[in-house]
Amino acid sequence: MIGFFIFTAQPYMNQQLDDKELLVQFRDPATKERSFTLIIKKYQEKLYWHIRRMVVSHDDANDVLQNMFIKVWNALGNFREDSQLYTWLYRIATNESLTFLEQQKKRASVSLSDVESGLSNRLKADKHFDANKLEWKLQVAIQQLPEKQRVVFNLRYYDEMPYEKMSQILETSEGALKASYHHAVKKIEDFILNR
Amino acid sequence: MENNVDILNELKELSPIIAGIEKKNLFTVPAGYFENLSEGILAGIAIEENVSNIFSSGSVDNDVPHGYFDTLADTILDKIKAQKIISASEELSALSPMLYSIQNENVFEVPKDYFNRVAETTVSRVKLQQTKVVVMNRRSTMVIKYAIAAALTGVMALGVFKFTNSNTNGIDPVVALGDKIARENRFDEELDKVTDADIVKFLEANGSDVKAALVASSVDENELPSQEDYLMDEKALDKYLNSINVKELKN
Repeated sequence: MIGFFIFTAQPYMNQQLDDKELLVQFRDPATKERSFTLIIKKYQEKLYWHIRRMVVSHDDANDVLQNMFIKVWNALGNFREDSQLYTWLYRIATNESLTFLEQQKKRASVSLSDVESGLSNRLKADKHFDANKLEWKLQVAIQQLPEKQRVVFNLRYYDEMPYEKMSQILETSEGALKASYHHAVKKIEDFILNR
Repeated sequence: MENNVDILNELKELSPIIAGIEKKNLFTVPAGYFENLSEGILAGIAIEENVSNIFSSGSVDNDVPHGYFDTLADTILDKIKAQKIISASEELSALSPMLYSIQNENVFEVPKDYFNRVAETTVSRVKLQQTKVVVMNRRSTMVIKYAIAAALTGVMALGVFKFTNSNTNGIDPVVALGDKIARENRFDEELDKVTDADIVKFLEANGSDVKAALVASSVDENELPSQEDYLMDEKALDKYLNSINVKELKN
């Protein structure tokens, strides 16, 4: 069943349940499982799409997302709350995605650029792919970016994340992130215009 | 803190083309995926925890029979002793019936009576190496004796010359002995007393190659293999040496 939906930028601060309360419930064995379920339901779509835009395939995104939440289950009890829960989850999801891509590269014994062109090919293999449509060209162009630059572009373009929050997730300076995003935009524009 | 408008304006400034592209999600998701995701994750966590609990000692209810550890060592030893010892043959039969069927076939050939002669041949060669005895035939012995005699004669002549020309009273004992033998006409008698070992010592002391001397004394040039013989048979030299009974020179 095919379902298209218009992606709208949900403010990342829109929280149905308070994160602090969820953490308190998680640390109580009696309510641990229930609170964890609520955490998953609260952040699953945002995290899923962040991962999916990196790995392209739904099956791969599902694997990475589940592995990511299992790690959260094991580590959440020791979460020091130096950063927001949302930031921490995004950081884990980003690292898991990058690790997955690195493992793919090692398994196939190919360069990362080959992995990236493989991701483009997966896009093109989609039955709805239309090379003439700008939105598909945009997707193919994004997959040509180096992986970390792709993360920056996706967070800024799709999640409309401020550089300050992005800096906390990626543990990189705001200046470097801004430069990276600007370069990414230029590369994508060049790709769309010249291919 | 930046807001969405700021972010959009930034993009418009960088690339009006990209800013003008409608933000569409082109990826599809299986129906009901997000509704069931949390259950799937919790099930995966439960499986992992059950597996880790098997190997942990803290949180699992370990129901160990009374006295289990007291008799464990004996139980293990009894099982080891009771293990059926499998022979190499039985093992091979189980692993590969094909290899088992051909295991006793020997494809190599051995000369007749080889194993009956191995011990004797080996011992002989060991003895030869230990004693360094040079086997010489009578003819070669006599030739070398006369060669040594010629050398001694030269020494004696030199010694006499030295004696008669010397202004001192000192005489070399060897020269004196040689002079005495010559005056008493006992040359042949003394030459017969020279043993083979003495000859070998003399040759070695004078830097002569004992083996070469043996071959030279034994060789009759007329009997040497011709050049054509060497071309036709690589064992020509071995056969010739056999014929003159100088066996050790082949080793």
